[in-house]
Amino acid sequence: MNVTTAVALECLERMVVIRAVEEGICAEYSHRNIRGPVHLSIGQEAMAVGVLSVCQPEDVAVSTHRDHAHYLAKGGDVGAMIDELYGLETGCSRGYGGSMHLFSREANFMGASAVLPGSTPVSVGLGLGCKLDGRGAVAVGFSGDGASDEGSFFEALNLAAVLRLPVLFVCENNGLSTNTPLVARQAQTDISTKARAFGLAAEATEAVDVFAVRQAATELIDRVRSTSQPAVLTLSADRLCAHVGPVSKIAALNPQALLNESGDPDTRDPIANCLGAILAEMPELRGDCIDILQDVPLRVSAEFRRADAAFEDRNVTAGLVAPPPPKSHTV
Amino acid sequence: MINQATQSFDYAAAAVHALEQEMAHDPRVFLYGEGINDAGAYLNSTDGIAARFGEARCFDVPNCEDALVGLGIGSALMGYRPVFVSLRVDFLMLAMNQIINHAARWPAMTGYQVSVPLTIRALIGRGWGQAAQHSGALYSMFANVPGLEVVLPSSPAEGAGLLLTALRSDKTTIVIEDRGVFGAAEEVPAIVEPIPFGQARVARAGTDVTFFSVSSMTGFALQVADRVSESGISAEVVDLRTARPLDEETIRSSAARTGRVAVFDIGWNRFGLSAEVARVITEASGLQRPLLSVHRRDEHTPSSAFLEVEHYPKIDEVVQQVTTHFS
Repeated sequence: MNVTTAVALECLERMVVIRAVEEGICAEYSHRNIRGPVHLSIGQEAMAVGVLSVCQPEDVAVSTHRDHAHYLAKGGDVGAMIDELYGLETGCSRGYGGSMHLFSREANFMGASAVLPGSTPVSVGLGLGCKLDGRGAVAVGFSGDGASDEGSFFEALNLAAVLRLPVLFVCENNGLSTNTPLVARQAQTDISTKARAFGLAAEATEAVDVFAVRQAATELIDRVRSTSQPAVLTLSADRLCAHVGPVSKIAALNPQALLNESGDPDTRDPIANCLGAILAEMPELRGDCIDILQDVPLRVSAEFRRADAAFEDRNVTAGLVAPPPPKSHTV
Repeated sequence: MINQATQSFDYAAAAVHALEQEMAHDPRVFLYGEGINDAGAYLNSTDGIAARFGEARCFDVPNCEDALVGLGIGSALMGYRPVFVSLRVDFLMLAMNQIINHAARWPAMTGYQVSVPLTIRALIGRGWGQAAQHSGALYSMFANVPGLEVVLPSSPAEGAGLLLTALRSDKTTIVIEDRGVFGAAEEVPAIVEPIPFGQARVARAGTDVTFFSVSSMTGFALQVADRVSESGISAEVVDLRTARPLDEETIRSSAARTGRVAVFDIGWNRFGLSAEVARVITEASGLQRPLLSVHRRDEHTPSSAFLEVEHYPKIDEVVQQVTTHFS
């Protein structure tokens, strides 16, 4: 792991916050007060937390339609995000963005694009801004493997390399674009090979183990920061949820079940994996881990109840008609 | 009023003059474009800038229009004031995802907590056998999009003042530079003053008919006005200057005064400036009842259910509106 106990617990807590928020969405969606598409990150939490936990606060990040984990891992406010999902003006994007366009100036989370590969060229410009500022910040541009089907994804890599800009491109490879597998879309499925062909440093790692992601991200970010040259980090993990909609493929957060699963070396759940690593190397943190698993969902749940009540209050005057019952979502 | 010192400049020199003035004043402004520092590139409209300000503030880039607009958006979000110079408007078609989905919409998607102060200069290769892909006007596509500003200078002095406003604007601004305005020289203020967007200029006063024009068609309309004056027709020429924002008030007042209108556009007729001028006028008068438009709001779609419901037409309100409007 090679981390302090504080960092170990912080990584676990951030991932549990992300999972709890997304499970809250799943639980509340059928009530129809969250009215918009949601793209969940269940199974992919270690990517966002691993990378952004080694970034500095002044580093800037942009994301995609699947932006919940990035916003929260960068330090975006939980309550403001949930308000945004409910369409409230207290939301992090004042009700204009919704799930796909979260924003936090305080956290230097600069927004998210829901058109592939839109945020990738924008991240190049953020990198130029960091370079011009001259304060050593770097830009982190999250994309999915789907974006790497697109031409301007590679335009962006080349431009960042030729202009020598401090950008870390993080390609989250869940192997699916909506539901079309990577092998059906790309003849050369090794994204690092293509990145290196454009003259960028590139590394790839499995992203079930948040501490392994941290290690890979640390090496690349240090290099990006010290050389002002871009790099590509490809992270692979399973999307344990539907492309869109409130559908998780795994059991809801449960301390005892996670403790049981944490001993399984083949688990695909980053939270169980993280818990297993902490318990193996820092067994004295067992009580703290259980506290996180128990307390975070309660705190997050309270935020949903508050936002739902605010929605109902607002709707007393707005008088929005209840939408039709939800369709059954398929995985 | 004291006469301000002026110099005689063609359009290219006037553009350089305005850019250099603002770059000296505002260190956040920088330029980039494909081959931007080639001798004679961009019809000489970037000449000397790299020599004066250094190549860090006027730099060459690869051929990747979509990424180049992204470069501008990202650096604008970081507080800079980038200027992307595109050799042809046609080449911007490769960057429509970044221009429309990102530059125009990023402020709206964040609830207007950020702005994208990016200027895109785009040339039109009018004449000299430039053919289909080097001579497009295409600006009405951009003018359709909320969040963008579209500027169409008609002369060197106009170009200098409008370009200065673009550089200082907090919105993404597309400055359309028609080769048809590059030839003639005119007096340009030694210290350029910004020309506000959305304020048309009466280029020639008249009483019988109004010619609404943009860009190089303003000079064309002035020539037509001179020729028809020989037949006793007094034509007013109104240079609209900017397609978005559009000076609807001047269009309505001049049209109401003359009662006769012609539109002089650099682009295609369908869904373009003529249709827009006709909309502005007929919304005010001209039929038994003014034209009524039923449409979504002129803004990007908000996500919030509270805001979204206000974005689209509501049947009850439209029924009421039609009943009142046409009774």
